[in-house]
Amino acid sequence: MNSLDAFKALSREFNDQLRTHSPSDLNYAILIPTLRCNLRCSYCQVSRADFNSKGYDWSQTKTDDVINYLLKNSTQDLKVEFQGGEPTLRVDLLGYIIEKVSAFRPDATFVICSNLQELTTELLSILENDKVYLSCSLDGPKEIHQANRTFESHLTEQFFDNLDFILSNFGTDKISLLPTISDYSKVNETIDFYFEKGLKDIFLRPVNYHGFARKKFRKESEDIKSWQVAYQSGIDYLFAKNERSKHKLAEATFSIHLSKFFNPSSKNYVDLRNPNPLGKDYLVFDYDGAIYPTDEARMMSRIGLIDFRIGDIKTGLDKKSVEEINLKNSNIGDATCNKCRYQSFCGVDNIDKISRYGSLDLPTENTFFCQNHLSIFKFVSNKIASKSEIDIKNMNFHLTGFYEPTTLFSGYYND
Amino acid sequence: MIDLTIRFTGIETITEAFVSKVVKFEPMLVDSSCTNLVRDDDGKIFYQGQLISFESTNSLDENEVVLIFPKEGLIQRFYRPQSNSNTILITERCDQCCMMCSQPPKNKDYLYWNLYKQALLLVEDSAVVGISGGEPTLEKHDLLDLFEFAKTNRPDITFHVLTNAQHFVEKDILRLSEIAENILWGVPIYADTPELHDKIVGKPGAFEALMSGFSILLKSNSRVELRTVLIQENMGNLPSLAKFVGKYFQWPEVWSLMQLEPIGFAKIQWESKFADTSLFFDFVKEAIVVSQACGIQIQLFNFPTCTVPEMFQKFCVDSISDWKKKYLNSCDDCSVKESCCGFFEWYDESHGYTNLKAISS
Repeated sequence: MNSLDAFKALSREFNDQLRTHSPSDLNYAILIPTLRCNLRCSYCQVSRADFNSKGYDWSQTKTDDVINYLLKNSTQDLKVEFQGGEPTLRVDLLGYIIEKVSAFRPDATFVICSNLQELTTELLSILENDKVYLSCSLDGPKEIHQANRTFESHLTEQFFDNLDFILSNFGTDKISLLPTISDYSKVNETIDFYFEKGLKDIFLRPVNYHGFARKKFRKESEDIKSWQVAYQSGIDYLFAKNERSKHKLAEATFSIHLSKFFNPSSKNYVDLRNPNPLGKDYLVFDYDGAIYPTDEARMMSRIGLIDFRIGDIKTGLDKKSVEEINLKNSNIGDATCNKCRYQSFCGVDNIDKISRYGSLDLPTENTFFCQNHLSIFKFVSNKIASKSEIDIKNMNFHLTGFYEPTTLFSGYYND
Repeated sequence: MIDLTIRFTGIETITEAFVSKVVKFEPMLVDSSCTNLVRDDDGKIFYQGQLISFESTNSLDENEVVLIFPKEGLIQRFYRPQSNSNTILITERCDQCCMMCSQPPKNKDYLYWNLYKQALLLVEDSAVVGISGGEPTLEKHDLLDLFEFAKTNRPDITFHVLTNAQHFVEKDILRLSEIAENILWGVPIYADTPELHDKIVGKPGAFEALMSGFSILLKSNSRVELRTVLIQENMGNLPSLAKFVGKYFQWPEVWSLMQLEPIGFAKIQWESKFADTSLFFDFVKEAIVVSQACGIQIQLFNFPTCTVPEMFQKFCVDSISDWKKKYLNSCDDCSVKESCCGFFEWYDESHGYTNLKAISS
């Protein structure tokens, strides 16, 4: 072998290691200080508790236990995400946790996932901290948002007023907005609305298969074909719109899948990690002190179908449970995946598999996870092969932020 | 321009070369056994109470480390704390002959290994020391020995070594891996084909040898900065080189694209070498795009900010060493002068960039 070929082989080996490397120390914690919520969304994934109910909040002791756990086990660049319920119902706990964690983790960042119905002065003062961000649902224009989430027009008005307040006082980088698409025929209206608001990103995702959505949107959440048709035409719509307008909008699912073709270390989405070790760098601390490997695992356990708990804040992680959920955490060796050309770009989601089909034994090609990601990879792959200048500029934009022509897509990628 | 070698008179007691540090004058410290240079508030320099006079308007800075050659009457400024660039020139010999070389090879060495070791002990904490040539790895054994000495005695120092990486062999891997975290190897690659790379560096087989050098650096977990000087000859190959880098150079820390320094061989037939990126930036843009897509860190060296389209200006680095940097008259009104690399001392406006314009704030 000449030295060029030997070097290429070594580099490929290095790239493979990059692809399969996952951090082993806790760097992402989802905290559920309360499960109560002041809304009752049709597709609620977490089966939230009623605003007035008792027993769904962290006590002071539990809060301190969680903080101590984080300070003992997490990396310096820890990210904390507050979920719920509506976490701002306990804005006192949020402030307390942020203060305590920041004292020992000055680089830590915090994301508050809020429905933005109430902007209290306490919440606004927390948001002054530039390590604190917001993440909110925004399903689209008022009619859609109201139909899914707020139901009453005064609540809808309240939300949009608050949203505008945040955008104009803190800027678009303070808040990430996420739609949940439950009516697949209305994707374009949601995209239009995100343009109108001058937002930079949108994450087009179908209604989830968890919590209340499992019953109410059973058909939609299983209907991968209709979703993919809606998604792909949504992307084409967004591309055309980017070409026409000065403002550009990026779609996160597309960016994630596209970057897999070029950047072997892009791991910005846990589902597409391979292997995907659970219960290591990423943990969920529920309102009752239970520890889960993912937010979906918490949702599943909440409806009582299966218990995915892997520990408790009092006793810590249960080694045996962690081992169990990690049994088949790689797509290498899977009969379907071994034949798939996107194997090295893709990942594993055992929680979703068990949640939908009750076991890990179903052939992977029959799972929602596989069909969904495979469709997107094929779609992206066709786009890469496209000679359309609009596609090329949009793909460049999704990868690099530059809306410019490039030769990057002429038959090249990092496989 | 700052002189790095200064003629002086005033040390007659000693003939052997020695290392000295410039310290602030304090009456208690006058001591005839002290080898420090003492600097008073006016910038006057004394050695054991005797005034040193320089043939230069430059003085020495406090805490600066110098090599003193009394017989030759020369002071070599080894480490200046305020500088963005402190470099030891090991040798001017080189086994390549690059068509744009800024420091054409000469048969001249500066192999003062013992002085370098003593000097390293005196530099400030966490210092970055550059090593350049010629080709410093022509003295590979002593060079690695110097790094091992530093690793043991001053593990806080990091070295930035400019090398063609063609002199490493398999059995260097162990030594390289032991000093890996303290050394950043700056290695040039000019094209993704042997034909073009070898032509530019003036050495048949260079590309082949370079690839085996990269393998050794990768195997030893060495830290690498990839460097590409841009000239007309390789500009057309840049998009293709970028894809090569995106695919096979995930492991280096950064890729530096470098504008040409107008000195040495570069000045000969300058018109056929200098690629005026203020007129035509597309291939550089393509390299930036490809590297961003592939997750490769990229930086633009020696690109004055105003020659780069606005959206790519964030990749510009203040890269020109302080001692050979200048600004033009038109830079006075520029709002980004502070962060701009400026121009090489020997930059000639009549043969330079077509589009230069002070950036208003």
